[in-house]
Amino acid sequence: MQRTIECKNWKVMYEEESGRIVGLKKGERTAFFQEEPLLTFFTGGICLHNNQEQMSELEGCEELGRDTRFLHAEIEKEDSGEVLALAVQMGKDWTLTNRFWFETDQVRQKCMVTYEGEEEVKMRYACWTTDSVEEADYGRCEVLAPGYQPPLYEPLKPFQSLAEYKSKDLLVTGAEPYPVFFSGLTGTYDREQACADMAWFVSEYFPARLMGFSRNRQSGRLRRTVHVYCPRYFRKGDSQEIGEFYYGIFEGTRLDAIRAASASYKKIWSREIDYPKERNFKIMEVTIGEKLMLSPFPDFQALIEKLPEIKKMGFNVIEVMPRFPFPGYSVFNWRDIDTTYGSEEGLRRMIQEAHKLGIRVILDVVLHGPYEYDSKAVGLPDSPHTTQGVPWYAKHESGKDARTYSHSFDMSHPAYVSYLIETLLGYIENLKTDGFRFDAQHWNMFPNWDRNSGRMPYEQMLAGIRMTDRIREEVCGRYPDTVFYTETNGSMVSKSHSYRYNYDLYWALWGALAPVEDVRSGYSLFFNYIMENTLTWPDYIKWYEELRASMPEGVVLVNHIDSHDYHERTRYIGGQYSREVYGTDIHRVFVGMTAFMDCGFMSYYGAQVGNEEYYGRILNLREKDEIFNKGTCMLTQACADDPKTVTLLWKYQEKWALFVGNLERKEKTVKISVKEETDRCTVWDLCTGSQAFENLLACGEDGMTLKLKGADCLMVRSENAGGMSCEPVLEK
Amino acid sequence: MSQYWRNKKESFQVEVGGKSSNNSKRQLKNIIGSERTGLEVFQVESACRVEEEWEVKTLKLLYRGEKPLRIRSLIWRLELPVQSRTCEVLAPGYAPGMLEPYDLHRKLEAYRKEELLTLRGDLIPAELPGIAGVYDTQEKRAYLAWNRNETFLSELTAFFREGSRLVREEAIHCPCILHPGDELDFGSFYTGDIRGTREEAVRKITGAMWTKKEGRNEKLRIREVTIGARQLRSPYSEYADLFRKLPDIQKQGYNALMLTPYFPWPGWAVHDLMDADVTYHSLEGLKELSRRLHERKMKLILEIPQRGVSEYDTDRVDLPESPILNRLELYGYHETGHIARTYLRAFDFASEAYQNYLTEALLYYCREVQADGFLLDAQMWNAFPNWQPHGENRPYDSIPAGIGMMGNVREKVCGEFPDVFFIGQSGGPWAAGLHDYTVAYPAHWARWGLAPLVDKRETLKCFHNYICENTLSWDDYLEWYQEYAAALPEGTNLVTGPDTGKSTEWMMALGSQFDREIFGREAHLRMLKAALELGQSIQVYEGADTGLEEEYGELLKNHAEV
Repeated sequence: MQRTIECKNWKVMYEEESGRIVGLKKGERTAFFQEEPLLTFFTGGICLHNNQEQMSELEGCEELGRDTRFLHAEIEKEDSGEVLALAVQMGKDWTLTNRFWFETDQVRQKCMVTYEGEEEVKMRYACWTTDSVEEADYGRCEVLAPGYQPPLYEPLKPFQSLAEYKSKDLLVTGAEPYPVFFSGLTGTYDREQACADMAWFVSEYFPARLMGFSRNRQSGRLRRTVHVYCPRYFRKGDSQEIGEFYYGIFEGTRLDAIRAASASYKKIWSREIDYPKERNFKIMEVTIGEKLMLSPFPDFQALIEKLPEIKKMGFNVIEVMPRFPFPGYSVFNWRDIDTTYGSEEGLRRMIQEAHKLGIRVILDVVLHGPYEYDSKAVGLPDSPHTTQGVPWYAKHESGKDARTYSHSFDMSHPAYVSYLIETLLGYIENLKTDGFRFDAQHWNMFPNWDRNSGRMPYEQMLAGIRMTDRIREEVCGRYPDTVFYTETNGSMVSKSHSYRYNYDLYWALWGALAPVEDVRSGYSLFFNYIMENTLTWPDYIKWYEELRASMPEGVVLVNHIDSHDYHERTRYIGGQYSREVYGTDIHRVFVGMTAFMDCGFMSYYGAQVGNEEYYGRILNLREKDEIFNKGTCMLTQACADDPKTVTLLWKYQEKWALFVGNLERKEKTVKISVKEETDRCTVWDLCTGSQAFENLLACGEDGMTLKLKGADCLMVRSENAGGMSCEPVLEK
Repeated sequence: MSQYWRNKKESFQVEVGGKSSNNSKRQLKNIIGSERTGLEVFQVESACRVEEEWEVKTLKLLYRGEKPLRIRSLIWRLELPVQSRTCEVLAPGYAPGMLEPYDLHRKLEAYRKEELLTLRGDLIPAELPGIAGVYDTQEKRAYLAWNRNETFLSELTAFFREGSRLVREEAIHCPCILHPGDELDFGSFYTGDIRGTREEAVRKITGAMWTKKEGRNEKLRIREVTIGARQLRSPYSEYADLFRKLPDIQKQGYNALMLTPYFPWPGWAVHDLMDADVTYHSLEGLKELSRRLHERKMKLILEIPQRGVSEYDTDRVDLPESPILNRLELYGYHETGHIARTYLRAFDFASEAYQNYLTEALLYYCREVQADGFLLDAQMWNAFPNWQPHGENRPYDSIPAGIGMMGNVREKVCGEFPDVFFIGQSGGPWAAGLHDYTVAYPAHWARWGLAPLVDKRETLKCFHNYICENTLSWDDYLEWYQEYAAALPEGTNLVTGPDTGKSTEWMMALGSQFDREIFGREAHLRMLKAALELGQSIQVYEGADTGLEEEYGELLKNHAEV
């Protein structure tokens, strides 16, 4: 027997005997309707390995919540309105109480589990399952999941209808958890009714991983499965609340829905910044030492000699990676700068020289833990963090110190955070460094099962992200202009970082937009011959616009084609740069496209070889031309009638400028939806720096017609914008 | 014959079409968008006969379609009812399922998981025997199925219990483009009902399938060494360092020394095998090593890299380009038309030009350096089709060629140097038959079952987890090992040893990971002793015995005397 409770314009349906929630509707629209339990909980079992996946590689867990017994359902009155509380018994020893808050477009749910058993039990994770769109509606609904990747083993069409996918899985799932990576917002958009349904989860303590987003044959609906990790010990009488679950039904466009849904975490994780100023952040990553048998900078002196060239190319920030090959991506001793970065004196001098050129220097700080090895055998010293018994290590459930490829710090340990803060302040004071890029803050994303820690096991999981709140407060309290830059890219990073990597785009950087030219092929995790070159520019920029809309305000996305990561992914001798993957000409299109996508910009030293002038032209234009340094980027406003033509329109007051790039090496004529009179336009070839007016065939009320001769990069400007000095200028 | 193999469902299907998703090491198996279909487009020639204690089914397919068809594999699926109270798994060479404690004699009904074996994609009969089924302890009968084929290597892709049925599926890889009238002869498929003990059943099959080897009985105690820097552990940066250590190595009981290529570059990549100065750091050093070893009546074994050639921008990385990089007749091709690749430009072992190149290199080292033996590195590394085959070859000929070429190569080398011997790294019966010695790689999994892990850095997750750790009894392991050995041709000289140069690098730990670190000194010595008792020969990588030199000396001395 089913019962329905109505609150505001929402209906919650549940089974009378079991208390199982079976449906949620707003008017006639369904948020979910299912046979599976909405939430089940996995307890007990064993963690198979002491490694990076120790949070999730479990075996033998017991699932709670399939057989439940109704306890009570009641409407509670709060200042904010009515709250539905629905409690069920799970098995003999557990109760689950769900509370629902209802707003016009969305419902917020909190769940509380309580344990009354005699024996201690380990809680592992909650499995959150929703069945939404019916099979009959697949043809008119699209996936709406900002930041998530479409399935990689079919042509990349992120906006096709659910019915058109070849695989049953409609997104790449099982990847890094939210909120460390990804937006966490997933759902569908009904084209005909201009309405979206979405579900998401918000927490600063419990990471949630999308495990499934597929057309489920059994239920005949779209099934979304999320694991919310909440590891801790439960003893009799213990209760735990696990984050906030949201369901939304939004009228309007796709972007409207994303903005409405993301407001739930933007209110927690947003900061106000001067975006046009902050986005003028152009980083060159450099490695001192030997990496992949490629040694551009054996020492800091070699880097100092290249600083004018880096400046000339338009970069205004140097990011110094840890020294390679040792200690590389491990902590040796933060305070031993000679070992960590190559040379304390060399680094100090390099920073001085960089500052003279107006370049800021940030240090890449590795956080997760030290290597362990037989120091006598390998001829390397032991990290003092392993020999001097610091109390900062996390424990695996076996009782051993937790490990990935290094010994793993517990980032929720207050002494660890204090030590790190002192270290960073020391870098600023002694070296005059301008800021920090935090390496892999998510690396140790697993519980600390140490019973003596005084903290819950789950507190360690997202501590690598949360700790930067305190670090920023302390560091910026004394040095307000310090740069905080992070490698992670979920919504939570905005709280303490001004800049974040754009790893979201990695799936599109290996063959999605253009064919792979490198004879050695590309990175197989993101590249295959089925998806190669199947993504269109309009789809890509729309996908990017949605990603941007889902991000909290106050953090600048730092786009890049090449990074130290991209370079090392395939492990080739000498690394693999984008210009090798695609060829120099297509690489130039990618650089231009990336640099003009309303963001910061980053590259890895070596990626620019052969294109130094082009980089200089693009990046200096970004910095010095007021259209780009004060204006607004209209990501999707200018459209070409060709799927492989990149168009990015910028406006500032009455002026506009349009970047056009051809992702194909063939001549073509394209029509672009920008209205202007021909004699009011100038056209520039960004590859040569010369005028290219002959490329403009027509311009008028019907739009603009351009001739592209090959993999061109053009800049079309309105007369109001004035002429363009394309040559880079080295400031004195 | 018993009715046991009267399957509820027995089927042959073919996998056709699709795309190999990447030009990578897994290009044979990572196929997207392929279809499984019945045999409707083929004229099927099949016959059954009974031999000894098994039924033999032959299968030949004649393509009757009108358009060319890209075929990937033949799927052989057996579904049979089993007595789960009395039957246990019998699959020599395969590791048991790792998600429950190890028990070789666990009855099917007592398995917690449906999967009954750990399948790692090894190719049959190159890397594993491929005999897999159940043993009924009450009836003392083994119900086993296998397929012997050296043209189309196969792979056990499923072996699980589904209710009261056992499902066994094998993919016989036969990639090629079929044209109307083309024929594929898949040879014989065996289903046996064999009386006797588990080991007897396996021996009966091996005896009938594989010829007894006139193998070498000489026991090798091999010290494996590297000149150069490997994983930051560099005992010998130059030959002179090694020369100083030779007396100690001999004194410890070794009678052979195996030299890996120079590290870190070219390492496992080929620069030019004929260039010993690059491959082994110094031709003169190598000659001097050989002279000193022979003076001591020790043998020199060279590990020959042969996966392929590195590709990089020579201007940037300051390393020379391989002189054979552009000898296109040496390489395979992916189905996209690109030269086939793993992390290297991949040799096609079926190419006559490649086989000649390798043979010439081996003869060169016999002539110039007086090498006594060779271990060819990673013979199955490039086990994928060459879609632009050389000469009369078909695409599928390249898959088994790493092993298959040994007949030719060996004949030519031993024609001139009859005493030269070959050590094979692939643990299947076919490979064992073509080499003088066989490294017992399939037995590696068991170490993680026999003793608890003590290395604080943890270890390889493909062999270890906290459920199976230390749950394998010595009796079960011994029985498993004997069954595996029984599945190899009689006369196979197995090379065992907890540490090889490769096993130490698997973890990618800085300074590598030795067995004594994983399990502690005592457990390691027990396992070494066991290895010496089980295998005819032993291989020990430099550094494995650090701190245990005396104990190693004692054990090796005993091995020499027994």
